[in-house]
Amino acid sequence: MSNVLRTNCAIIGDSCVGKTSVINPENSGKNYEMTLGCKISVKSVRIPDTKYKVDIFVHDCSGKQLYCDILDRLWSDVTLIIVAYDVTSEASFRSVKDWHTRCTKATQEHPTFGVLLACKTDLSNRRTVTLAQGESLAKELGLQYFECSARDGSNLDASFFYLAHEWYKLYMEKVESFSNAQL
Amino acid sequence: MGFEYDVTMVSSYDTLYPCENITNGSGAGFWTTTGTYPQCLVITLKETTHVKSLELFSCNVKGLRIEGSASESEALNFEEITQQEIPPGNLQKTTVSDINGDFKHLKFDILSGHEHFASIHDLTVMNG
Ligand SMILES: Nc1nc2c(ncn2[C@@H]2O[C@H](COP(=O)(O)OP(=O)(O)O)[C@@H](O)[C@H]2O)c(=O)[nH]1
Ligand SMILES: [Mg+2]
Repeated sequence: MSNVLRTNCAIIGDSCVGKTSVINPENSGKNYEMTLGCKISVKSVRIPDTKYKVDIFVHDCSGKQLYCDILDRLWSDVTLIIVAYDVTSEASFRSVKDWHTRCTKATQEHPTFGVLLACKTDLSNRRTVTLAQGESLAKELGLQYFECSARDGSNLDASFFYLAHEWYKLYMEKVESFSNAQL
Repeated sequence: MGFEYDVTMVSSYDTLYPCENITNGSGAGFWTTTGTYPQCLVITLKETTHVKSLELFSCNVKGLRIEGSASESEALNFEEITQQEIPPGNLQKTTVSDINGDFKHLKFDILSGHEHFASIHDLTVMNG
């Protein structure tokens, strides 16, 4: 039997960048279906060579302005973030900072850590945002950079794997500090 | 001395830090939450007992609500005893006195934390 760690993760970014497809890749070939408000799904990641499994509750948030109020409330419970953009859309790349700022403001009390996710890398001939640009923005925002394509299925689990490992490491650090706690 | 009790419900379980640790009074072991809030823990006394006070040692607990139930069988019909914000600290010591109620079950809701994970190290329920 394994021990289960839990965490709330929000995937944010402009509409249409591919957020829902990263979570449900089987949808990436279908017609666009707008996410209303927020949908929650669970990604389970086993930490190799340990008895631990991390359940990431992924909150897939609509990029539409209409739902901003819901988002601000949700973010106070979020501990991990994935900020996504579309490598064929410079506008979505420019929005990353705004999304990140809003989310970190709402979660100040419990600092989050997260991922900058470049989506739709299969569209290489239409790509306008380069790997170097992505990496440099990730560094500036203190995020880990990943690329993926829901269409060809490449690298989809990497960001969840990374987040699960970071959560596990944080947990190990904290229980260590609990065992040394004194009045 | 404290009353004997069993921990009958927990919302997080790590086999290395089992909830039985909070009853042993030695302070060495602890029970830890494994991520996200709220978290919850229910203890059940041997019989319905007049409880005067309790003492709790914890880490990172922020919003704490304590409820009691006199229901003999299932842990039902809880009524609030106290809700408070615990200041941050290394090991937090919380004393709740003047409870003066008859309870079989006590429920501890950790509504929020000072950090992502929180722990409970010891819990003593007293009649004095
Ligand atoms: N070529 C390509 N299209 C994608 C990919 N991921 C999503 N799409 C398409 O982009 C559109 C928006 O995707 P969706 O996941 O709903 O975006 P969201 O609004 O951010 O949740 C849909 O038409 C998807 O089929 C991908 O990796 N490659
Ligand atoms: Mg969507």
